[in-house]
Amino acid sequence: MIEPGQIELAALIPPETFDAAAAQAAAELGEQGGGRMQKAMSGLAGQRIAAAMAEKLKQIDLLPMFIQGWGKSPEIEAEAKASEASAEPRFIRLGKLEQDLDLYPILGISGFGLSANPINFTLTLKAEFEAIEVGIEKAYVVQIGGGLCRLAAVLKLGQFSFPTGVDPVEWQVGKGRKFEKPGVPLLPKVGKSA
Amino acid sequence: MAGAENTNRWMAGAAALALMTSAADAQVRQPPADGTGATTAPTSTPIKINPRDVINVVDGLLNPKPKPTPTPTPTPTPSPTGRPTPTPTPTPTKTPDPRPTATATSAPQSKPSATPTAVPNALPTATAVVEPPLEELATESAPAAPIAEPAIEIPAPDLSGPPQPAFDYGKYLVWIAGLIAALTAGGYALKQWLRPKLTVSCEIETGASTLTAASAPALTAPDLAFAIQIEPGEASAPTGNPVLATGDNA
Repeated sequence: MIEPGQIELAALIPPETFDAAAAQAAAELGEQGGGRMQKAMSGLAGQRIAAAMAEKLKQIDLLPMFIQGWGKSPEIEAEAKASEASAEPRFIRLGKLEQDLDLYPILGISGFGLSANPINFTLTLKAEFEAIEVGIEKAYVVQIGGGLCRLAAVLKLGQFSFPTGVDPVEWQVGKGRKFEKPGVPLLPKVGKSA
Repeated sequence: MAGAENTNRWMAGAAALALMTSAADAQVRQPPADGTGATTAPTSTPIKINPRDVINVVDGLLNPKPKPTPTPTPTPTPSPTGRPTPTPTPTPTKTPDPRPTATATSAPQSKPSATPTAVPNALPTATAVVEPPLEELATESAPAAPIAEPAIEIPAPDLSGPPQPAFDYGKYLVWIAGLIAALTAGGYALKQWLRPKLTVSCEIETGASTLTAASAPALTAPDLAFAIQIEPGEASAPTGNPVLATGDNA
């Protein structure tokens, strides 16, 4: 479910990009010996691939994924560790951050009693956060507010890239968003357990 | 006078008949080459007689032109040997006598090669009297200039005349093309008129939904299923200026 303040990934990738990716996928299926039926299925899928992927991407909450990467920053990691000893949440104000995030959509098409080989996409997101206020409790981000976020996406299929042709989407965090407790972890669980 | 003319015509007809008969038999009596006048056995050498010449002769006999003044018959000039020398060739002024006479004395006048001694033998009968002038006419008609132009002319095919207009194929081709076009158009119209008026309606049932022909392209869509699984990767470490301010209770 898309909640207020959630980044809509589907808005970053227009359907035309998925169409081009689907056509390339169909061609690759033919080259890989996927069979005429599989290739035909990929060709028939066409715009439906784009629609299905856009619908799936709407269900993905990207913000927690980016927040999990924040703990890799030494300053934020230190604040996360400091919050563990505190009974009260700690709040930090972030400057300007840039992050990359890769997603790996795997598309499977089935029909007529057959299943085509899965098509592996790569969705690379570039985010730029600025002036975000973060509430940390016990090394978990429980809420964020203020500031803004800019997002851009590039869809890849093997060696082929399909630029979205869309300007980065700017998202105003505004009143912010609260995460269900315990929140989004900043520290790796392995390190925490160790 | 009239009786004489009829006689002439009859004689001319008889002469023509005799000439034709002799030409058909292709055997004529040839005078000896030595000019002695002795008759020899009939030779088998055919003589080609131009029918036109026969016609000319007959026409000349039937329609005699007014002769100027009859020239005197050349008399044989006595040779030094005492024998008369016949005239080698008839002079232009010498015209054959259209009225052959039955007398034996007429033969030497028109037969230059015959000697006077040969005349009695050459004309034993009445037919023999007629024959010598005809032979002479047949043989001498070609060079005889005074023979009048034939009044009756057989129209010969004139190949050197003006060219006949060529057959106009183009006009007939246009006509045939028009006919074919008309038949084609008529056949097409008839075919259209006879073509049954059929309306095909098609309904395809696929499960719970019924697709009409208009929505048939979407037929394959419901049969395809998509399974999309997104495996999240790890976000990279943030770069820039991560922390600006800190506080326990912002």
